[in-house]
Amino acid sequence: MDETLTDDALVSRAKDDIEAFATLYRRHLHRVYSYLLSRVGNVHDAQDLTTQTFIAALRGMQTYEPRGLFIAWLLGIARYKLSDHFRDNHSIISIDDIAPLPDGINSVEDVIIKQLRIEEITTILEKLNPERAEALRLRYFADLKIREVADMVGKSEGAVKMLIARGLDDIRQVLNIQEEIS
Amino acid sequence: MNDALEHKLQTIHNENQPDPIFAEQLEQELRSIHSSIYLTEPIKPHSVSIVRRIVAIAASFLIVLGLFATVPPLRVVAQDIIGFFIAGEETIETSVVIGGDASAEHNPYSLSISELQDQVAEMLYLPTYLPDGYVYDGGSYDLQQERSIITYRCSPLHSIGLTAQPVDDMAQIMPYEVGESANIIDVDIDGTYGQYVRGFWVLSVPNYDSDAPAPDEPIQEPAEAVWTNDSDHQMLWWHDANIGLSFVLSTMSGSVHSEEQASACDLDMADFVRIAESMTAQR
Repeated sequence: MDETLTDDALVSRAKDDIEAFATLYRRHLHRVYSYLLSRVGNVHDAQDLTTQTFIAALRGMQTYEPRGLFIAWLLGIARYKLSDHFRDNHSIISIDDIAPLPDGINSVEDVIIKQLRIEEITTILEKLNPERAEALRLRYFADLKIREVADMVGKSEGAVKMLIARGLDDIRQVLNIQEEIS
Repeated sequence: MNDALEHKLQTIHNENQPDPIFAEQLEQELRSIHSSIYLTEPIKPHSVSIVRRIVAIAASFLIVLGLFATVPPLRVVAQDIIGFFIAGEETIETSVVIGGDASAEHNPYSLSISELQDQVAEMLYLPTYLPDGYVYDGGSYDLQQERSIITYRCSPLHSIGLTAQPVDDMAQIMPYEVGESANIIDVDIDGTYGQYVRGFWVLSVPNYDSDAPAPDEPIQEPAEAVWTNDSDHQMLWWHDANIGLSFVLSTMSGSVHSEEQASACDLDMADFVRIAESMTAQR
């Protein structure tokens, strides 16, 4: 399969040609998985939800209309899967469960940042304003461009930039609080 | 600080690649599923399922088009309306089946509530609230799909259909196409996410001569379905994960909106949500 084909060109072939769908799958697997991982914070659930998302996408291929972004459509399915997941699994890791910094490390912000792991980011994002957190996830974990994030959340590019900037500030604030507690 | 944080977020994204074995296994699973779905049932442009959906929803409004006597009953409508909404084209080229012996179709909604309860494998859920004037009109049950359909009627031109189908999650429901301009509204049904839309596909059949007698044998004619929001046709869809059921509540007749046609049987989104919130297990 020609890897240079656009998503829409691949979608148009995907129903009759599994190689086209496989190309779409390989192209977007990381973004979907990473986005889901940023929401659930553990590999097992992220893999499970990724599987559900792509199977649902495959089953719903004939309903996809190539007027938007294919990745946005995929992430829309992922969000539905997440809503079911969170409905069935109410436990959320507490911010207090984030591992404290090892002793002896100077608690400067950059050191804290460097030590951040996906589980911690997930927990921090859960505590933020939902719109800001989602903009951050879509931008950094689904790897969408600002314009694409704007399309997905139904806001202007300027508004999305503001959400992301404020979300980053929120993370910084959370990290400062954690550092003070530690 | 934010630069460092942004860099870290990007690094986390890059470092958290899906496990290669998982990725390979999932790809194989997708290949297998693809074979079972598409190779056995090749998809054609505007495939039968899409055409049926379009024709189905349009069939509700053929009174407007003067084709009422020539189309199959609304059974098709109820069988096909389940799904969540996605915005698609504003106009769709499709086709309709005209003619044939419509009277040969039996009434699909002939079951009483007790008969329906006997057929439904699990719980039967019914609304405890109905808007003034609406009464139970009949039900049907599709054993293969495990799908129950119940209708309530207020007047010959005002009825609603309630479809329930057991599914594990929303992805098992095929999205239902609405026009690009459709205003899909997210609603909260006692904590359950749902979607509401008002509007319908107006069907026009260029080659149809309303003065000509309907053909004895059904024929397929090209048609064009145009989405309009200016309508009293409404649909509310939701999936209740707690009971494993997806519901579609829909008007089963309708027309282009007109103030002169205002009726005590008219419903709005609040009525739909209230009905949905009153769903209760019957046994």
